[in-house]
Amino acid sequence: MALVTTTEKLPVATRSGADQPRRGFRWRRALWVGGFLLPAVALIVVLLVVPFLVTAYRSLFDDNGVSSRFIGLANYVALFTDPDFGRSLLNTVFWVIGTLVLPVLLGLLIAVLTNSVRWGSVARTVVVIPYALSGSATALLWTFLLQSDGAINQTLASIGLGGLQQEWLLHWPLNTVVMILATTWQATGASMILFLVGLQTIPPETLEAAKLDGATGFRLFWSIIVPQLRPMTIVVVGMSIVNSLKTFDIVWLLTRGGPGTASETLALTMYRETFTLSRYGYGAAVSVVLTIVVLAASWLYLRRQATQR
Amino acid sequence: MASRIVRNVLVVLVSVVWLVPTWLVVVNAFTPSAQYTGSPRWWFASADIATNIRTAFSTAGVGQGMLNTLIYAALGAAIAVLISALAGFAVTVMPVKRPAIWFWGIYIGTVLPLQTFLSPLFTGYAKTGLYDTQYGMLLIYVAMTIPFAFFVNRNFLMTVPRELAEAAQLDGANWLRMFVRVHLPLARSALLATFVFQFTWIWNDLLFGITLSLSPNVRPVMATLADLSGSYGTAGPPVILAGALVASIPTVLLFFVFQRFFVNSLRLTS
Amino acid sequence: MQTSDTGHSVTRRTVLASALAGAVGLAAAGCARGTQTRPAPGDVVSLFNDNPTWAPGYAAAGKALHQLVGYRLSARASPDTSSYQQIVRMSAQTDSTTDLIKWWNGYRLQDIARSGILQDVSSAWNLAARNGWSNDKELRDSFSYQGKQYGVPLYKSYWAVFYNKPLFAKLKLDVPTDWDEFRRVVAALKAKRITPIASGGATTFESLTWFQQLVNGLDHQFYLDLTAGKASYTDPVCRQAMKLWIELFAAGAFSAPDFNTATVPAQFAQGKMAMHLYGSWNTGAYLSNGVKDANLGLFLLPPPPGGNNSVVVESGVLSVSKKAHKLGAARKVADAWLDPSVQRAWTDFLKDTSADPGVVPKVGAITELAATVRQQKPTQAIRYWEASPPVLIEGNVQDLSAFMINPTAANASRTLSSMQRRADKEWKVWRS
Repeated sequence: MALVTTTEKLPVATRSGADQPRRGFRWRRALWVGGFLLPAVALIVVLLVVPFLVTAYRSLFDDNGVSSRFIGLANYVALFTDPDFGRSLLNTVFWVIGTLVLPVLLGLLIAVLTNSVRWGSVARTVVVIPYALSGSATALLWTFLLQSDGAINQTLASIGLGGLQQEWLLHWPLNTVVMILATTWQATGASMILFLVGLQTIPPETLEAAKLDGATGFRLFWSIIVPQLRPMTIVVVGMSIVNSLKTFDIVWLLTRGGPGTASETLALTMYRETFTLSRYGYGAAVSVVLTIVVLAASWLYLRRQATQR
Repeated sequence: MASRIVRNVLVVLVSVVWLVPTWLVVVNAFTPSAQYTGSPRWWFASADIATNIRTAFSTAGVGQGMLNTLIYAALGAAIAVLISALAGFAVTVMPVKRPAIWFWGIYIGTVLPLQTFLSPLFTGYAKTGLYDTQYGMLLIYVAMTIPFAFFVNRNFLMTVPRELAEAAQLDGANWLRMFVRVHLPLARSALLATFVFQFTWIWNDLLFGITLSLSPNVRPVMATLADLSGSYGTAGPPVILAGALVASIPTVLLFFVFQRFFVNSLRLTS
Repeated sequence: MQTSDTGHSVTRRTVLASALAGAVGLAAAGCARGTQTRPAPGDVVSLFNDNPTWAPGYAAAGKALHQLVGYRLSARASPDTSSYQQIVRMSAQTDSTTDLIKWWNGYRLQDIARSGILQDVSSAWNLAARNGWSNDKELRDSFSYQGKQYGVPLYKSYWAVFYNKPLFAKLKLDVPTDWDEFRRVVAALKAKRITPIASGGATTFESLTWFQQLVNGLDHQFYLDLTAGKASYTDPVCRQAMKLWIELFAAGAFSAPDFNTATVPAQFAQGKMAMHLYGSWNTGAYLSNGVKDANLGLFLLPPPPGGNNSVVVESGVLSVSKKAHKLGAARKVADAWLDPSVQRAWTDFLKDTSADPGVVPKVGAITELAATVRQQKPTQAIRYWEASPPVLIEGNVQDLSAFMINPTAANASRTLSSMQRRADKEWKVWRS
């Protein structure tokens, strides 16, 4: 596109159909738009969408990773009649609610709070560091803390609160709850940063005007800042929905979905079926269902947003 | 006044809660392997972390892995941010018909579960000769990071007043020129944020690293760290922590630098 | 792009251009292909396994092999077992497969052998039997599919009890020779507030350890029938095994169920833990994490009352890929693998027993174990992990993990019923 060297004036973006542009012009405009969109769309279709379609096709087969046999929708029937699937779905819902409430809300609060305190940048760095730490360190850390003979239980015992000791990772739903807290520790920094980016887009005049009107503290936050942050809130919430529905890493590292299948999420069920049990067709069916769930949730949340310009 | 105290107390509280686990990571990376008891420590067992780091670097190719990943993360995130900014500009500023379709066409990349790709991607990579190559890794990382970067940049560009684009057009700027002159500078903080995030994402990726690469000169850093903590790893937790800590320096540093930029630009506006 | 009139955009353009040039440069550099997937030199046979820490062992074995058949080994490793298995399956039919593949015996080997990706290496077993290296019918059966062998034994480990010699000496405890003595040892350790037995498994495969040990110890033939799908998990032997297991839990014999096995050596070294029932392949982990050779012992757990002398055996598999680039060379390596000179080099590194009973590495615990096995001649049972179809095992192991969290009689009965329900279902699938 760098070769196109036009100095021709382009008309202001208007609602289409208002006036019919010339044919050559429309053609050129399409070329421009195509040039801007093509790299992103092409990469995503070739490397992500096509592999997914392959997987979707595979879900119609009984496939052990080496040989396969067509069985129609039998994998889906088996999936919906599997009692573990219900548990897995329930855990996934927990994750969605938990990460919407905690990292998103905390991220917003910390972003606003640290913005108004002199040494806020120090606090922000502290909150962001976990996000930058590698997975192998965080996994070890939380095992350290949460194991039955780990740091939390030892600390409780040493301060005379031995009665509060728990087998944190061994009982449902406690294990899911503590893993959501662990994720909160790691993920809040990310949503905080995004909210900070959003805070920058609020025109200072708006804030000044609001302050002149006597809005302070919570009212300023709720009636001015929150509405102004909307575009970024949509990003944070949208990503949070998607990521929580796909929750995998931390559960895999801490409990492997266990004990039994108690803490499995949909992504773990898919992984176990596909790679531990080598039932590639069945695992593919789980992943198709998971994709539909994520897509549906995102669509519900973003459908009006997506058409905005 | 009272509200200021409350705010300060809250910020202190948050910082302490967040710092405790991080503290544990750092302290335990200093424990010499021989003194490791199987349970974590709250205070340094020695002042020597170098031995643990050396062990990590010599048992697993952490150093080489970091160099490989530096290429993937820096280049991959930069390319992804650029491509996604172009696409974000197209759907927000340019007169695209049915922007929703394009939005979902790109956004769907974040929706698909990662583990879904592994098997077909592996087969595709093995067939096309991309398996265990540096460009193969770079390619998947760019594709994986575009959707999120696109989402952020698009939503940021939506906050740019439309009049700016109109004014630029009246000045006779073409699309590319408008993109480079008007929108890129305005979206600076969003672009930077997405770069930092995508750099971190690529840096911390393990799944694609262990699936699509094998050789020391291709393998990313998290895959080499997994050699230490893997199913048969014989290195103790302090060595793994020390290795992981060193491997996290670039991302922590990046956030730190980014944070400084952030504070400055915030002062400008508020 | 248009010519710019301001210096500002020139710099930006320069930056963009150099970034682009950098990308193109990287792509054109051509050095970006992995060193380990380039075609190997003529005398190198590639081997893929899931243990990066074994690389020096393969190198040592390769040296011995080179003198015998003229080929060395080049090992590649994937650090995660489940991702390893998946890569083997995915690459088996592509150009990216290696010549040799590490696998598991029993049903796990049958599972991939029946899809036709492995080379028949029966000749290697015939050769080993002829040369007197190894003539072990029970082991050979666990490497067979439809009467042919699809791999040679990488090692042969016994599931035995690692014990803390200084701790036993301090408390004047002897290695138990029957079940009652074993219980007394547990009680004596417990009384001194020492964890008698390390036993993880809440979220790992290790939950099968005591189940297999007790069922096989009570009735070896029943264990064989059970794992072959000919007996039921709700039969009395299983119930009795669960009862014994619950008794041990009640006696405080075990560590917390989410105990991390990687920390056992540290706990041993500090005298906090006394015993660990595990595969003898773990010896190396003890020795490299602070336990001295002289302080580590291994004994076979005495059978429970009414039981028999039997030991659980685990064996890794070295298979030849049917699509191997150097099929002939790989087969020669498989033939020579059990040669004593190769086994000596390999087990000296591994610090574990070989399929050739004549090769024993110079490690106290292993020598002790090998002597016990020679003397007691226990029957051998294949480890539970490999003893039935993989899908059945994986599910049952998860049931056992969940049982360990809550070891009560009621839960035992529920667990056994669930295991049997799964067995009914999965055997049908396996046999179809």
